[in-house]
Amino acid sequence: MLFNSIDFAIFLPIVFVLYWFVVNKNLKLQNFLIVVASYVFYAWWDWRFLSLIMFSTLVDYLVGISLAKQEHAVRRKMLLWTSILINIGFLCFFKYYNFFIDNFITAFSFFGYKIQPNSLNIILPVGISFYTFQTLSYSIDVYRRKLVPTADFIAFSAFVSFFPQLVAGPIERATNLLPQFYKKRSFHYGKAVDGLRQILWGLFKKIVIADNCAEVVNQIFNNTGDFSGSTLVVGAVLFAFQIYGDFSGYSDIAIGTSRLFGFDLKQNFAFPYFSRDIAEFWRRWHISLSTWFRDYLYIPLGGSRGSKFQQIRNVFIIFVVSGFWHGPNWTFIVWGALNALYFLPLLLGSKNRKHIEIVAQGKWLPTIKEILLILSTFALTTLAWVFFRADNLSHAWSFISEIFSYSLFTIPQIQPKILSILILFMLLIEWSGREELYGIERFGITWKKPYRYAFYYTIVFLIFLFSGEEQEFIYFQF
Amino acid sequence: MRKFLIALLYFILPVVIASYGLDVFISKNLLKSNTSPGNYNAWNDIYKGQVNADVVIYGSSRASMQIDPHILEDSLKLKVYNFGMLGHNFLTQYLRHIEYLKYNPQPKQIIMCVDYFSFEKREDLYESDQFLPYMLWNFNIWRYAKSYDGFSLLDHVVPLVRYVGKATAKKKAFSMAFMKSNMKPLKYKGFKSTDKPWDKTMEEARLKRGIYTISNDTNTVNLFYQFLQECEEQNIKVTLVYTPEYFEEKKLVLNRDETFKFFKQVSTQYNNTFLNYVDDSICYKKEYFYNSLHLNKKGVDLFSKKLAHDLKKLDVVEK
Repeated sequence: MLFNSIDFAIFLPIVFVLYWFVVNKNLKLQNFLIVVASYVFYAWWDWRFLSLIMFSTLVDYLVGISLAKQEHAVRRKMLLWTSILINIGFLCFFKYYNFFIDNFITAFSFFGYKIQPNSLNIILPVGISFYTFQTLSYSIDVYRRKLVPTADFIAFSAFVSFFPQLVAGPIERATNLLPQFYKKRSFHYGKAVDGLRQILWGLFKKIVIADNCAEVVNQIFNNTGDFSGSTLVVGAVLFAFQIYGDFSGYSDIAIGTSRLFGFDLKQNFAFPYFSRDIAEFWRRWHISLSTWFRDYLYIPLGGSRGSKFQQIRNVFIIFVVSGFWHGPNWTFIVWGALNALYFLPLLLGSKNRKHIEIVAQGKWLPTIKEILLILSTFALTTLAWVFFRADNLSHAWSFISEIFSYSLFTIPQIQPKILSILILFMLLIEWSGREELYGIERFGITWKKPYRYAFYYTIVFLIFLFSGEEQEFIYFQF
Repeated sequence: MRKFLIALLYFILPVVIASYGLDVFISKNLLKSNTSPGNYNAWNDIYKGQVNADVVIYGSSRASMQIDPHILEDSLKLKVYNFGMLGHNFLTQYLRHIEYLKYNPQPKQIIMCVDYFSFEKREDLYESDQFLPYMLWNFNIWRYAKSYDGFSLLDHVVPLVRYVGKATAKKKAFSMAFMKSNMKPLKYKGFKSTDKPWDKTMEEARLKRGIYTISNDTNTVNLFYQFLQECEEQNIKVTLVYTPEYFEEKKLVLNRDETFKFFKQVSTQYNNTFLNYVDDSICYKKEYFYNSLHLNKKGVDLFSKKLAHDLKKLDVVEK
């Protein structure tokens, strides 16, 4: 079920009413309702893969319980590895099996050995990368004794399958989300209104920005050879806004929906395109994944401690693995490696934590220097996005080669004027709300009610007016 | 919670009220549109009761693009309207038929263009935008379009829902409202010929599909029987016409003979004429076609004259 579908517009109020009016007096029933609703939400896409979520839930629940009872270090480690192998095993099979087989065949044929291809026609279960990481974090945290395992199977199932963030995150930590299933939730007016506001802004970013950018982006990326360098730049820039609108829009809807049910999820995007360097960008983009890799991969590898070689190695590992997490394609690996390259000078010069606070904090406008830094970071990111969006490495290469040709200095063949105005509108709103959790959190909050409502109605109208063909969220494929 | 629900109601109520107004605004402007694919004119004539025809032509694009009402009118001295629907099979052609009869006096004669696609159902509702302005609370459209992908009951009963995701239609409606359009109607009484030489795209697509067997949708076949029965009861004469197709098309469909047998059988059963042009001399000359299934302007002129002549000769059209 897509957030931007009529199905969800019917599903959400039904679950909301049942949750707050029918089972509101019983916490266990509320949690059970969440599990059922989440399974229905998931089964809308493909019910067969529900068994995977259920199995993953059961394995990690049992591993957690066993870890609590087990004091023997080796046995504890074995339990943890059971969880890791099963979860990563599923992920590797469904997501990476064909990639590895194809690359083995290519590698062996390079040395003159011919191997019969044995690829399988595998459907990638939606959201597998997200809920796998979420349950893994639980097992690891229990193993590290950072978290007391739960004996409440319903609460744990609700944590793993919580529908607002099941298929595309944010990847929640058990330490944050699981305890919320133990506590009685009471309806909070301010929180619910805030949730609706965030959903509205998420829908705007998804439907108005991302989906409309997608049309132009697809046209340009699918016919790269027909366009000049300047047009390809337009395509790359629009893809940067498409993926931002798509994914941060999804996160806003997920967080907002959770708030309607009394849950607080962590911020997943913190205005990344206002970053002044790549390190800041990665602290603001897909925060739940970046921090997951930081806590469960980067820090165990040694993080920024150790020799320069170790630091460089760790940065490359985390970025390449992060790229590979997105999909079984060399384009994602190169995208990750390119970001590592961008990051390295900052790390080696110990400047990677230079920009912690949001740009121009407490001020209306940034300085010229800040503008230049923002633009250069955006340009680097956009260049890397070309690899992310391209079908394969040769496509990315031809795209970038054309950008750096003489045709860069021609007038773009495609000039999406209305779309540019909409993007500018989004950026202005986000700029004004950059110190908040999402773009319109405080926007117009001091205005008189009619003006504030007029603003919300404008957003509603724009969503209606610019809604095109229903498009899947990009991150569903990951 | 109470406060939240009241606030939500206050927020949603103006949206609901405005949605009806906006729906009317978009629909009214959309049906002013004369632009491609030019379907609104025919629907407008139907719903406004302005068809005024003695002879109507039903079918797919092989009707709407192949039979020129001008030529038939000149020859038969009768008023003719072409209701052919691009990309649609008999299910939606029947919808158009009942809507037409609901708002207009019945014709004397229906020229029903049939072929082996007549009962083959596609999944999507082709050029679905043409139904949008007329869909709200129209349960005939719901009944005959619900088996296609893309629309649900909500689209038919809740204002604006059917326009969500229909960017082209909304754009068209707003441009009709705020910009002057000097475009003339694309079609004359539902007809538009295509004046171009042989176009390989369709040929390539059909060769890609390869040799295949047509599978008929049983419900649509039954509806066809029902249609013939109703016409018989209402004293509307029906002539089945198989319009020309380029001869090489024959090789592609395995169960062609069954199709012809079926149309012969029903025409005998209901005492209708079946005019089959599939072996006509036109079918062997590429110069009359722009693809294997459609005649070009030159072919249309020739075929329309031939059809008018045959209708006259057989005296199938009552004056």
